[in-house]
Amino acid sequence: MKELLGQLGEKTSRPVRSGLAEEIKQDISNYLPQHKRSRDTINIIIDFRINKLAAAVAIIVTLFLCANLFDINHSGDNSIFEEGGYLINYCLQSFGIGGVSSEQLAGLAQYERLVGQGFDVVYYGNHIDWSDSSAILMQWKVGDDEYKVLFSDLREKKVSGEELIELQAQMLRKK
Amino acid sequence: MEKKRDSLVARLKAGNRGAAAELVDLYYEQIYLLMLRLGHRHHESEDLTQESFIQAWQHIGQLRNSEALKSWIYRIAVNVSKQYWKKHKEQRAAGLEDIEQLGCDGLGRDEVEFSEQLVLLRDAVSGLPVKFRSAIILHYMQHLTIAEAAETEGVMVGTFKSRLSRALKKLRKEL
Repeated sequence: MKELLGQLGEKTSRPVRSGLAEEIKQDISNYLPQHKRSRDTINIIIDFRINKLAAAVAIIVTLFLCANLFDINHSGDNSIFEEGGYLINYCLQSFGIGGVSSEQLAGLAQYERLVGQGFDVVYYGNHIDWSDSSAILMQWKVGDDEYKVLFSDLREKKVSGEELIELQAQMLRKK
Repeated sequence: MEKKRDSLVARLKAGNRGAAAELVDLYYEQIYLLMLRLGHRHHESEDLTQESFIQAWQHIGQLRNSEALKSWIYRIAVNVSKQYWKKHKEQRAAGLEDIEQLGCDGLGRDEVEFSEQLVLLRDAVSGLPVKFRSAIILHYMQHLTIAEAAETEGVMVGTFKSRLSRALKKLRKEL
């Protein structure tokens, strides 16, 4: 039986078309770009679609993470956040989302950073007049009777509790 | 021989075109005949052989044991064939009878008897359930060792042996 099966195998074979091997080789070549080139590399193709606003938020969060990761000391110098703000604003404008100032973005960025550091931050950014440079953008406590205030022009100032009340009162009076 | 095979697999994994061509040269005839014996027609067999090599090329990273290269390429081919039959359920398998006409014209008496035996055997193999038929084809017609054929089918050696033995029993009964 086994011998017969072997014979049947021979009888059921037929010559292969001569061009087939070359066609297969050619076809494989076309797939080369999709093939990973070595065991140490991988191909990652991501088709990730999000809306423009979500993209802007993602950029802001990424900036934050970078700032926190490299432990950028922000006290007194707002340059990185200002520049970040300009960059984000530029991006937003190129996406067609205008109307967000670099100060607002930088302020938001700093707020997120402070909250991330565990500070109890009070944010007034949604209610203040951004053209008023003395408007308090946010405040947070740094010690006994010691507060830090960030103004809408991104100036930072250390004040006592009494001074803080006075600054808030000024803001209310202007409203 | 082993070194050559290991080198071939390493070069395939590195995305070497020459190695891909070598792989095709080594196995394309066997895979084409396997497709014919699995019941595909000539043109289908060519297409499916091509498809098998493309899939092998695309998934070469999954081949962990270079010793299993032969059974690996066979396994891909068998799966390609199975996928084809799933997609074309309505199509009848060509069967071994369409592969080669086992004619008796111009033969002596013994040869005629032998040829008739082959015809009966051919019909019996074609009528076997897919698993048994596949086992017979892989081991007796494609000349894979028991271990290679078992690996191709994705079963233990013992399971394959039992499958083969049951297939032979069925054939003997038919004849």
